[in-house]
Amino acid sequence: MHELAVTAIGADRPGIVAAVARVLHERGGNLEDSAMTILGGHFAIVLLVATEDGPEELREALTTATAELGLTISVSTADSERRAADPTHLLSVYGADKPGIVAGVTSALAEVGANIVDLETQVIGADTDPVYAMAIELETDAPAEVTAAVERACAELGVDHMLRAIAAETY
Amino acid sequence: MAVREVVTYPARVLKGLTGPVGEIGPRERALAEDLVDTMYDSPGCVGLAAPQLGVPSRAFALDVSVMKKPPEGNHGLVVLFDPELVLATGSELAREGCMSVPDYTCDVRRATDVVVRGTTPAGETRVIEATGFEARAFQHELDHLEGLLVLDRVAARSDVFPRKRRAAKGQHLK
Repeated sequence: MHELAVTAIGADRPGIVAAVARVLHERGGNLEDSAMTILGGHFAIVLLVATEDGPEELREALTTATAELGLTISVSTADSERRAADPTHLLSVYGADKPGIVAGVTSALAEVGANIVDLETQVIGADTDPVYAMAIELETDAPAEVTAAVERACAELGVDHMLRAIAAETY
Repeated sequence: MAVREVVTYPARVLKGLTGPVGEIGPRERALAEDLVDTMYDSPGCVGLAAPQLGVPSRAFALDVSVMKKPPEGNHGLVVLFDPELVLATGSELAREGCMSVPDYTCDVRRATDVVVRGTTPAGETRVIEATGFEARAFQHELDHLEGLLVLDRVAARSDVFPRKRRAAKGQHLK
C-alpha cells in the first residue's frame, strides 16, 4: 500500500462524498485523512488514501464512477512523511473586503517561518459593506516575530486582526 | 429618546477604545434611553453597547428577559455606565451573533459566571451577579467597550465559520 492524494471538485449536490468514498472503498482503499467542504456553490474534496492502485488507475476509476456528477478529479502520489499538525496560534484577520488580504498576511507569515496548519476565509457582514474574514491556525516557535510581522502586514492592508496562543485560550 | 441606527463593522468606532463616562447627566441619560430604545427595536437583540450607536463611551444596555426562553434568574433590563468585570469563572463555548457584524455567528468561549459593577442612569453603583447566557451577554457588551468583536474572540479555527448564515432567533447579543 502507498498513499495517493485525491482532489475532486464540482457543483454542489447531495451524494458527492458518497460516490467518491464508495469507489475508494470498493477498490480496497483506506481513507487516511480528508477535508471536504462547500466553497461557494462548489463542493471540494481533498483526501489521502492508502491504496494498491496507481494514480492513473484510481483517477480512471473515480472519473468513470462519478461521471454524472461532473467532478474535476486529480490523483497524485503523496509520499511525504506524515507529521502531526500542532498549531500554536490562532490568527483572526478581518476588514473591509479588498484584494490582497490573504497574500499580504500569508507572505508576512512565510517571511518569519510560521507554518500554516489551517486557513479558512469567508465574506461576511452586510451586503452593502462586505467584510472579509480569515482564520488561520499556525505553528511557530517565534511568536514575537510573528506578532510583529502580522501587525506590520495588517497595518499596511488596513485590516484588523487578533493573534492568540491556542494553549492560552482557557479560563 | 430615539431609535438610532446600529453601526456595523468596519466602522472604526467599533474597534477603538471608549472613554469613561464619570458623572451621569442629561446627556448620559439620553444615551441610556437611546441604547434601550434601539435594543428593544432590534429583533432578537438582547444587548447594545454605546460604540454600536457610534458613541465611544463606556455604556451598555442589556436585557435577556426578552428572549423566547428567558434564562432563569435574569436581571431584566440593565443599563450600566463605566462597567467593570469584577469576577469571571467557568468556561463555556456557545454561539453568538452581533448586530454590528450582520448575518454572522461564531462560537465564542466565555466565562459562565460573572460579577459586573457599574453605575446606573440614576447615578447609583450597582453590582450584578450573572450566570449562563446573561453572563455571556455581559461579556459581549464589555468587549465592545474594549474595541473587541466576536471575531477577536474565536477560540479555534473550527469555531469560526459555521456555515449557518443566521443566528437562531433571540441569539443576537447585540
